[in-house]
Amino acid sequence: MNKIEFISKLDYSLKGISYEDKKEIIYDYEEHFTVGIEQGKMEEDIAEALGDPKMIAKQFKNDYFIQRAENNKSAGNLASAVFASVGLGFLYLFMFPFLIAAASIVFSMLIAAGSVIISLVIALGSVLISFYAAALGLTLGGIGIILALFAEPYFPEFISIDINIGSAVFLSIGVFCLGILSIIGSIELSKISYRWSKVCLAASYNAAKKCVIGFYMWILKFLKMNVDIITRKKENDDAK
Amino acid sequence: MNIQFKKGVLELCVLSMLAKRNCYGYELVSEISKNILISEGTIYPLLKRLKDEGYFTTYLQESQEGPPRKYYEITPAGLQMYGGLTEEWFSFVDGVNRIIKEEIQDE
Repeated sequence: MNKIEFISKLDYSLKGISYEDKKEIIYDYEEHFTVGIEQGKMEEDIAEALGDPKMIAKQFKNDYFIQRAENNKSAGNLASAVFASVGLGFLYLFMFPFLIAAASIVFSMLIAAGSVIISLVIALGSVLISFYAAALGLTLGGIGIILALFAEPYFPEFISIDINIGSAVFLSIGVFCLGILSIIGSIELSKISYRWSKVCLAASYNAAKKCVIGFYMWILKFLKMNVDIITRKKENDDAK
Repeated sequence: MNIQFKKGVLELCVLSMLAKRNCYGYELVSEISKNILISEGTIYPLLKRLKDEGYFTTYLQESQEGPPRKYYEITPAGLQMYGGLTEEWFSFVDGVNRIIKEEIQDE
């Protein structure tokens, strides 16, 4: 293999990585050839010592995709890193189902935890709404008794109050005050619940985020580890 | 040799050479391959990765013969990394030596 063959093989194998990076890589190998020739070496010997351009390109590509997925966390970049590694050898294809299974487990657990938290918040909300309804009922009840006292003489066939007026007025004031107190109590309770729900939701959100990022980093680590195994296997094969 | 081990050692070799003076790619590659059996082509990915991680920077410098050469210059982060790796390396070698010597005495 001469210089042109080596460079064009390398160039071809580097497809997928950015133009800038590719230019930089090709430049390094061209310089290597140039200096080697200046020192009186044959192009073929230099290429031989450099090794297989395809293997070299794979090393660059893996570093490139893993780095991109590390710097810019997105599902797409992670997928590119995974697929770049799949290109390395078939150890990956056989590990693929495990990766998918792990992802499914992580995400279904997150969804389950999320549903539990959301239903708890909804339950809390419903309890608060019923408190408000009861408080409102008491308040309106208090007003209702007063109104009934006034209305009784006009609608005797509909309304009959068996207790004396004094007790009725006291009862009405009592019920009304209890209602107002309940409303105030419910408002306080809502404030506390709101604060606590916010804290709980923020904590769950952060925990979920950490979980997803942790899983993301774990996949990247897994990719790096496997790349090493495959590279080693290839090097051993080459040595044979 | 274990590839992970070799990778770490190659990193140390490169950092150590650059801690002494700025070098261009060919110098680094030929010095390392003179002493350690590797495919020379695998050093450039390592150089690029270390550069991307901020352990050294590069600049072009004219040479008497032919086109300009790309020189590598170590950064403070690189020097720190070099210090850490050297320490690790020596304590590792000391440990291995102690074990080997004990084995010899036992025999």
